[in-house]
Amino acid sequence: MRWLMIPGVALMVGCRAVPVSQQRWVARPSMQFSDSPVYAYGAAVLSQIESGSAVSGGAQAAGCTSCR
Amino acid sequence: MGMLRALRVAKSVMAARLLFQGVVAWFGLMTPVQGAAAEAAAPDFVLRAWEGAGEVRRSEFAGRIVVLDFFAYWCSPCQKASAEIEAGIRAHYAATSGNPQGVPVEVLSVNVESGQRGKTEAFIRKHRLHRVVHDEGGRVLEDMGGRNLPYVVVIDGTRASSDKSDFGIVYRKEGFEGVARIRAVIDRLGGARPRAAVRHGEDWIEGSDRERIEEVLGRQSWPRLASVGEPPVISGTSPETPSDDSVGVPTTVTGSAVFEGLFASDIALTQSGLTVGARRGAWEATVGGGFSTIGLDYEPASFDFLGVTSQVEEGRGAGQFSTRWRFQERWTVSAGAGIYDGFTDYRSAWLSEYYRQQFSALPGYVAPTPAGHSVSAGLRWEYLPASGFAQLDYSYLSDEIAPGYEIDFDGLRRGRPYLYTHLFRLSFENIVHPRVRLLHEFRRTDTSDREVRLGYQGSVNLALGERWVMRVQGGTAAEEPNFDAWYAGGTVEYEWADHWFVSLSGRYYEDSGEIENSNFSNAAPALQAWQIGAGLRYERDGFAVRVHASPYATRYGPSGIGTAFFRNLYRDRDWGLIQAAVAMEF
Repeated sequence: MRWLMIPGVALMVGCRAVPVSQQRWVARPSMQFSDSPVYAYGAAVLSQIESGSAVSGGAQAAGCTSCR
Repeated sequence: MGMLRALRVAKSVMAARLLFQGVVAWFGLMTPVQGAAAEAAAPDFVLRAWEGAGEVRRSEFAGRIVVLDFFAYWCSPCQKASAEIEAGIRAHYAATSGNPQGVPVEVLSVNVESGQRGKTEAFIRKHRLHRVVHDEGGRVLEDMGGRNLPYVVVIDGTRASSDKSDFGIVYRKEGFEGVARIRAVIDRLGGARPRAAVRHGEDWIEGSDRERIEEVLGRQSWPRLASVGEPPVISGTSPETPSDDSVGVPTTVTGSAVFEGLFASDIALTQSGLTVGARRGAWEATVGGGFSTIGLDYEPASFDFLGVTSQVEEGRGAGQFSTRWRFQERWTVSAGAGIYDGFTDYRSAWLSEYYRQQFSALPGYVAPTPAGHSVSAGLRWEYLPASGFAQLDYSYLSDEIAPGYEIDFDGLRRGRPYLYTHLFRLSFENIVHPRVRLLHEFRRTDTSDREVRLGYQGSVNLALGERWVMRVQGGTAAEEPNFDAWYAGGTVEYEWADHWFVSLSGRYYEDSGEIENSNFSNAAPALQAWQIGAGLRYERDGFAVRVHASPYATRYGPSGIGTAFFRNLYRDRDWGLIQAAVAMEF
């Protein structure tokens, strides 16, 4: 079943431009993938607990709180 | 093992698809990249008047200069662009009866949005647009080479007449550079001035007058002369002749602040940050600082006879700088650096207290001083105009951590105190449908003394209706020999009143437990976590504020006998999460 993910993910990358005159919906701030803390709906503080979802790399992402 | 292999193959497929699209774009089989500002014949056009049944044709502007300001009510940068063009171009040249050569200048505000007439009319009234026309389906916008908004075009009709159709595009730009830049183009059109000229301060030197040009700019700086329609490019330097690229470009300043708090009965975590940024032309830079606090009630295991309860209070300061440069129409390069001092997470602080109580009296113990720094670089390619983006980022992180200790017959042994990480991230953002925006992110994290960790995160933003947006996100990570994690969540947001938005969100996370790092391990056991919460956001005219609150639960699996001393660290907890953020742009 995991192998079905590969073509599924590949198909989800678009190859056709959506004209700007049709971008009313996706132009809204809440539809953007933004670094702004107002529109980024994750919580950075949770990366202290959920090491598998950390995106910054480094000691946290490695889950290595106190390595030997 | 199977998940790791699937992630590797998915990466290869993505890379192959990107290479294919790059080859197709190179051979011009896809939508051509917008042309430069060299003079080109202006396509004929017929635009419907916004009010009434009239039409506006290109031929109407014979002997005149016309500025086309393409806009839509939902385009945020268009708010400023249309307002400044109306005041700084239309009203300015109406008051001066044309440009310095006496050529009349007109402005057409061209709407490309076919629906939401009421919102478009509100935009027109707000910015007092004088002459508005409608571009059905954005066809004229595309004919003029535009793919984004705002889009400004200046057409020179000074050589045209009722018998002669000679209209040239002398300026076209995605985004808004400011009225001074547009006026510099308009003011050179028409009249008896030579068609080729070099600007020197407020004066114009005839382009064929090499002796005069070299006298002013220096013998080694014979400039390249452009044909009429392009701002003259002066390769020499002269204090009296500033680069046209820097004249009048507006600067946008942004600021944001955020606070997050996560509280349980025995642990309190806070993170706060402040960021200030500036955008001018093709450049953007941000500077940020943050401060985090950790407060916990340390409680040793019941059989830990050396341990005592204590209060642990730690603080962490951080600073960050980043910059972006759009060096070509479709390419942006970025760079950044960061530094921090203090514990990155409460588990490190808890474990550090444990080791201090156990071993601080023994030779070989060193009090931890966690700190770190990072540098990063990135490259972004807009391979589909306004619709498809690919980005590659690399980060190098150096962390001084709070290491663990073990004691045996040879004495106290300290774990590795420094970690070095190489992080690669490949992401694709696409608008695949007028209502759907996707983001795929692939990560490869290589930390010293560990196996490579691979991660994937997919996000989908869907516009469900005029007032509804749904955001769905999921991801997975894996590392040999036995770490697996996955998570999924979603947010539904509703605009219940003008400028006010309410949201409901939920999220689930699960992992198989951290990798055992010794026989006497402090690695976390398997974890399940979930949250469900609500938020409220207000946004208006460059200002936005959001608050969010949710209960959050963590449930750990059984810990092994080697982790028994850390049982109170890895016990089940119920938390409360609060977030508050504000952002401004001016």
